[in-house]
Amino acid sequence: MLCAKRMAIDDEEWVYDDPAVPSDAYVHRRLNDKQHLVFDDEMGRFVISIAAYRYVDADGLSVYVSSEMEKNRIVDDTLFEYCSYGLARIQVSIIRSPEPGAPTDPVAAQISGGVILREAESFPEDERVRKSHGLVRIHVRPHGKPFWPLFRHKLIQGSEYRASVHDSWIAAGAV
Amino acid sequence: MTTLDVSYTASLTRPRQMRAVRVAPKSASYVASKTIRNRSLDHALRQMNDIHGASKASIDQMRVYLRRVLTDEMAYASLSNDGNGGTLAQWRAGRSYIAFEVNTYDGDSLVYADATGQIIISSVGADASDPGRLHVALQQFTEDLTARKPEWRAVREAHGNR
Repeated sequence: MLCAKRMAIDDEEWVYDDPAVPSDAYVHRRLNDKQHLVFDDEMGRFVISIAAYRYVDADGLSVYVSSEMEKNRIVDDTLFEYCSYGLARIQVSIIRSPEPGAPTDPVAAQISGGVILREAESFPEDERVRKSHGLVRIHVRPHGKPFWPLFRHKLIQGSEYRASVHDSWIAAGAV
Repeated sequence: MTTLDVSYTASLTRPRQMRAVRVAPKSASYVASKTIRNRSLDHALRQMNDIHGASKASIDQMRVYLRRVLTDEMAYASLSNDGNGGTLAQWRAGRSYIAFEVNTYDGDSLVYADATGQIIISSVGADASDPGRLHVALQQFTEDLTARKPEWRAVREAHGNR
C-alpha cells in the first residue's frame, strides 16, 4: 500500500511527498521575475537562476503538476499565459532521487524530496490551472537550511527551460 | 538669558588655520581598490543599486565580501535578491556554478559545483561567510571557464554585461 511520506516535526505532521504523483510526471515552475534568469558565461545565454527555486511562503515551492494538468485538460502552453520569463520543468523522479553526495555527506544523506498536490486558492481565474497546482517539499519545513540549498542543486542541474510557446524545451543545467 | 558653553564659543573664535585636522590613513585595500583595475569588482558594484527586495544590511554585507574576494581576472557575478530578503551572487558556466547568499534572517550559504556538476563546497553560517572559501571557489571556477570559453568576457559584455 502506498503511503504519503510524513515527518513529525514540531508536533505537527509535515507531508512532503504524495505517491499519487507519478515519478514520470513533470512539475512546471513559472518564471515571473527577470531575476529568475541568469547569464551563463559558458553557454552565452540566459539560463534558470537559483533565485527561481527560492520560495517565501511556508508551504513549499509552488509548481504545476503534469499528471494533474492532463486530468484537467491543459498543456504547458496554457501556463505561458501566467508567466513573463518562461517555464522551467523537472521530472518528479529527479526530485525523489537520493542526493548525489548522499553516500559521503551526512547532510545530503538526510534529504528527502517529494511533491504534493495542493489546489491553488485564488490565482489564476482558470480553475483547471488552479486544480493542477502542487508543491515541491523536502523532509523539513521551509526554509530548511542547510538542506534546501543542497536539494536545490538537483533542481538546477535537472531542469529544462522553455522561453515561450514558440520555443522547445532545452536542458537548463547541462551543456 | 542664554548662556553659551565656553568651549563651544572658544572653538568659534579660534583661527581656522589653527584647527588640528586628523585624517585617518587609508587602508592598503582601500587604496588598491582606487588605483588598481578590477573589472570583476566594478561589474559587481554596478549592479548593487539595482537590487530590489533585499535588505540594506545584506547588500552592504555582500559589498564587503565582494571587495575582499574579487580580483580583476575573476568571472563576473550576477547579483539579485535571493527571494527572501537577502542578496544572492551567482556565477554560472554550464554545469558549474557558485551561489553565495547573504541573508541576515536565515544565515549565509555558499554552494560551489565544479565543471562536472559535482558539489565541492556546500556550507551555511560562519563557514559560508569565510571569504577565503569563496575566493578559492571563484579562482577554480574562473580557471575552468577560461579553459573552455576563453572569450567569456567579450561574450558577457556583448550581452549588456548583465
